[in-house]
Amino acid sequence: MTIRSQVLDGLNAASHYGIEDLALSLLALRESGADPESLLRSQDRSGGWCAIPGAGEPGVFHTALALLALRRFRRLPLQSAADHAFRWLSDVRGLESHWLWQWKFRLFDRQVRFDPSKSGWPWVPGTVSWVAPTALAVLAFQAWHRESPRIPSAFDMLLDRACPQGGWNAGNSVVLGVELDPHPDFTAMALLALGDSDHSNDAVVHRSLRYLHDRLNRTSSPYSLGWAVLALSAYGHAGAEDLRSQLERATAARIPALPSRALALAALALEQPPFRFEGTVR
Amino acid sequence: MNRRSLLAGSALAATAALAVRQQWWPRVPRRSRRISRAAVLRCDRYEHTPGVVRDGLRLLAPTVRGKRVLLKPNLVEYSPTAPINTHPMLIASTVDALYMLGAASVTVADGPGHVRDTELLLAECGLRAQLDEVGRAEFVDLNFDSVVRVDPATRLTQLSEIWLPASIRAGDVLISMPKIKTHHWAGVTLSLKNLFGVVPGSIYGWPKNVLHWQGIENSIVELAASVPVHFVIADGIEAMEGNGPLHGPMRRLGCLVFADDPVAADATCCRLMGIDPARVRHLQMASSLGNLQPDRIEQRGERIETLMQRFDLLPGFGHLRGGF
Repeated sequence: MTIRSQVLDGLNAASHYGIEDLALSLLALRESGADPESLLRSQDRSGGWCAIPGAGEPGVFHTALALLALRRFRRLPLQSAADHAFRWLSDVRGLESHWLWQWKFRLFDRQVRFDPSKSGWPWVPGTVSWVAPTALAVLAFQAWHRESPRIPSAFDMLLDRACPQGGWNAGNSVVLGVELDPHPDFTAMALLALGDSDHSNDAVVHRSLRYLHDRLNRTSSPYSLGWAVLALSAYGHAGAEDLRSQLERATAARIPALPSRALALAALALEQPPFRFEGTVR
Repeated sequence: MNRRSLLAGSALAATAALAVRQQWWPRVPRRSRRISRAAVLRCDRYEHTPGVVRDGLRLLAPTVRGKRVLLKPNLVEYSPTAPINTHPMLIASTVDALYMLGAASVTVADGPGHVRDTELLLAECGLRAQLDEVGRAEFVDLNFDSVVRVDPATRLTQLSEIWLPASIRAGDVLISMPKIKTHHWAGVTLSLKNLFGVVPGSIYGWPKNVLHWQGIENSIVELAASVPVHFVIADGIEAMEGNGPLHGPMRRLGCLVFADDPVAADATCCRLMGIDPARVRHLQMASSLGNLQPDRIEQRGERIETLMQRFDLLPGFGHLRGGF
């Protein structure tokens, strides 16, 4: 029995809590009879998805993840759910896209270095843009082949927020003149979003691929390794195979202890041929 | 400037200050007690924490026998060089000491504000290994815990509801375990600011930007009013000054601070850092939740004056010195 089969068994037995668990598990189990009905049922009336159905307001990250999962289940009712979700996504903007906040950030609030004219998506409405929701929103638009006039600005925003040494963190690269460190999962998400853009060969992308591989060389966290393998594979990076072996070792001994999102990412990252979010295939 | 304009200016400033104070003063619940207790114990090495933690808990004797205790350390992100997080050895020593005092269960819980992969952080900072060694403490990732809805206690923010991790409300005793650090937005980050870590990232995102947009001080006080902290053990062995909470240099303060009141704990930590706690805005706002003034804090262990140091502060925070 392969490690991946064991992971899928573990995922089948695991309980899913929240939309991230559910959406990633659906993707991982898409060819094992997974049913998207519960994900569909949890869509908010606004069109978005909350992190946990009924708790708080819908968020961009979870809405985009839900769309990425639903994309793999080509059934008619999904189309209207997706239309509704994309309308919601199109209405949600980072606050910095408003001229008033642009003025504030340009004139007074300059401790965090970023260009407020380059705007993506916030985690939840009413805050500024951040890397993870922007990257996943871009991936969702690409996967469903939907046009959005905001995608070019989202690419620019991601490039603007990259850490000077390569990679991305949540979205603050320089604060009070000090360079902040990147994190592997945010780096992988940004790389995946940029994979199908004109920027996929930019120097910052190459620096970030190198960072991702070097950073996780001695790591045993399946969640970060899973994201990293997906990103490196999408770019055909030679380091993907090393990390895949590492992911197998890291996951094998701990299947019952891992949360669904980590198991699902591990299962996706261990697929052969490599799993690609639609739109990242080059 | 003549005398008349000086008087008029002073009157205007006093009126403005009063107006601002009246905006928040009535909204913060009053939990003041006659006296709070704090203890400062010397500890210059993390290897010594098992004994010092036992001594501190013996001095203040929090009621933990038969209780479910939740430890909330300050875990932000990993750096091999900077003292960012509450030290894993201190956390492990505290778990052990609480079991020795008869706690029914001890859980360690946090929701780091900068990282989604908490497991990676636990492995790299050494906490996972320490907890495995102790063997009796579960870790709960508050960023991904189940959540409960809470009505805001102060209405200092515009949030109509707050979603908090179920685990944070399920225990009997909540112990905040901050790292003693300066903070580039809030002045200091101690047991009250440490409460940002209970806000679930899965709902609010990383970093917890919603709280910043609601005003950092307002959010700290709202959380302090909504999440009662019963006891504090602050890590001041290796503290941070200057550009905290991530990039300041290490300052060897060489002590642990214990207190049965988070406001008194933070006030004591501030005094050890050469900061006037009454000048830290969120402490001033939260003062009705505990005791800020030294005459209302029964101080045990070392005298503050013998351990006090003058922490470097970022430009713009010089006013926090006050009389120190």
